[in-house]
Amino acid sequence: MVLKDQLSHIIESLSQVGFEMVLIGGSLLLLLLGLIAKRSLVSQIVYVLVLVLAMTLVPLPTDLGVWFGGALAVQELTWLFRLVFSFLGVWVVFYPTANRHPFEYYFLLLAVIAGSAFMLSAQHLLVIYLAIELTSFASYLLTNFNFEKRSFEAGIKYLIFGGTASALALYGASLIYGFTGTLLVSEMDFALVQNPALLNVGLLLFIGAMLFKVSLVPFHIWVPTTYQVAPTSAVAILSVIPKIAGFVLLHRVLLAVDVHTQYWLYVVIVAVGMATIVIGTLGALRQTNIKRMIAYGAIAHSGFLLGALLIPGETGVVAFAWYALAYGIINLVAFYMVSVLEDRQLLDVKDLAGLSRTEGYFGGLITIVMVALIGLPPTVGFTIKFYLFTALWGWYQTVVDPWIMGYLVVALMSVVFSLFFYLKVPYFIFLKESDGDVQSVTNPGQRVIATIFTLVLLWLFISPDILNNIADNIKSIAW
Amino acid sequence: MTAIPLTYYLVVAAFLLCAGLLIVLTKKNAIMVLIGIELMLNAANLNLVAFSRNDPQLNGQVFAIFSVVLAAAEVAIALAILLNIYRKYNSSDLDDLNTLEH
Repeated sequence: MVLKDQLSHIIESLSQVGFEMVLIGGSLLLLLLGLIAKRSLVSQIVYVLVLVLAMTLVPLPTDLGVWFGGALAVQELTWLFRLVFSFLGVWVVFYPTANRHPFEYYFLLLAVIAGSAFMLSAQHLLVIYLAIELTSFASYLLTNFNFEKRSFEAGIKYLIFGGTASALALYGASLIYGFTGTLLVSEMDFALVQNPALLNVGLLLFIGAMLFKVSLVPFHIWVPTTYQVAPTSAVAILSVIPKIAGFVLLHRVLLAVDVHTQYWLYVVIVAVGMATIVIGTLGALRQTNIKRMIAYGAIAHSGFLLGALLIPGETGVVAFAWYALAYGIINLVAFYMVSVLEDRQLLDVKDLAGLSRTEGYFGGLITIVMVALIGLPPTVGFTIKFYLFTALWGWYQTVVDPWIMGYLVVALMSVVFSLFFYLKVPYFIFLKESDGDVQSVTNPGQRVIATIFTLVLLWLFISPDILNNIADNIKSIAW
Repeated sequence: MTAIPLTYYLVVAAFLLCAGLLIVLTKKNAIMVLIGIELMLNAANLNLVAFSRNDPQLNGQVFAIFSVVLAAAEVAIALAILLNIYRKYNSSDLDDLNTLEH
């Protein structure tokens, strides 16, 4: 290709990444503006404006393809999750702690969203590495933003663990490059390699970076500590957006490797998923700190999402998209409730005893959110879990693979066990008597926001039109 | 002049990776752990540059340049956090960071 053609190809491609360009440009603008206008409100407004502008620039699903010489593949899922990310990202400005954060905080949140957006479409090893690192570096910094003694501790632990994982992944990427001769995931042909032992090691190390981003076993150990001490609005973003993006990326890599023909890799992935569900659920059982409990619950949810990746075809992609979207909304609502409680230093379940005397209504809303996290009706948590289990059962009947059956059993058991820890919160609020005085926790504004957030969970269960529309748009994807 | 075979580069890189991993796992000082991570990144860089000898487009060398820049950014973040840790804990020893429950 001559230079002129390459340049016109790049200019043509730029129109497809308007979303990411606005996020990066907007975050730099926010950083400059923060030097002039010190008030947090200004940076919040700019943050929301950038996200809304970015949302309007998402190309339509009719306008898909491969851009930048194959480095970015814009698919239906990219379109869907770009919209979801910008939509979910806006919600954090309603959190009660939003006013306390300096402008750099919103800059870093935009960086996390931009990195995740690149992960949605990256299919070049360099772009994948850059996108993962952009998200990781911003996350390391966001962990510190309470500026307490223990937040720095969690920050350095997260950084050392993430740095080691990404260094190993880079080594894995170099081996993949050496054996396949290309950096493009779509052009790699793993069947051609004569002696694939070293290539398989590289592949495992490289996949490790994605397991780290989506907090799957054995790369999950940073999750409870980080979630416990990081600012709650940052946790709400970190537990949703990079995780969904990481799963989309992981699926693209697994599809390129053709996981259903490489049996050893298939077994590794299934075992990782089952271990994740077990460890997340058992870990949550012994927690008394609400943030740590939801963190372990989020690890278990990662295992569920991985289950959706194992199902090929239409049911798999719909199960994944629904689960990811609803999980994102439920988590944002749950962390909003936690954030309100944290504002009054009520983070241990024992502190919540007898709260129903002053905060019966708010306690009821928390109960609905916990029910949604478990996956029981009448919330959207039930819709997505039911669909995922149906899809897993259908796929089991097609292939009669004991691994899939095991996965289904582990997932169902996890739902039963999760009753015990999630319902601990409403148990303490409504049934336990407190020894001391109970103060009121919420102000009217927070009750209104919490009501709206919770109604979304119920509304998506009653009229799942939005979910069905999404399913219509994406079910043609080669999954 | 005969070219050095590719295998030699791979052996050196594998040695660097193992040495880096060993440092990360055994050293207690946070700075030493960062040095270990740096060694592992450089092992990957060496691999990338060695492999790009067979690639007329030199993709691997471009990749290595990017990863050097990213490593510098990562160390900047790590040192910023470590500075705060040293102020609060008066130590950069990772074993002293034990205020969080497990």
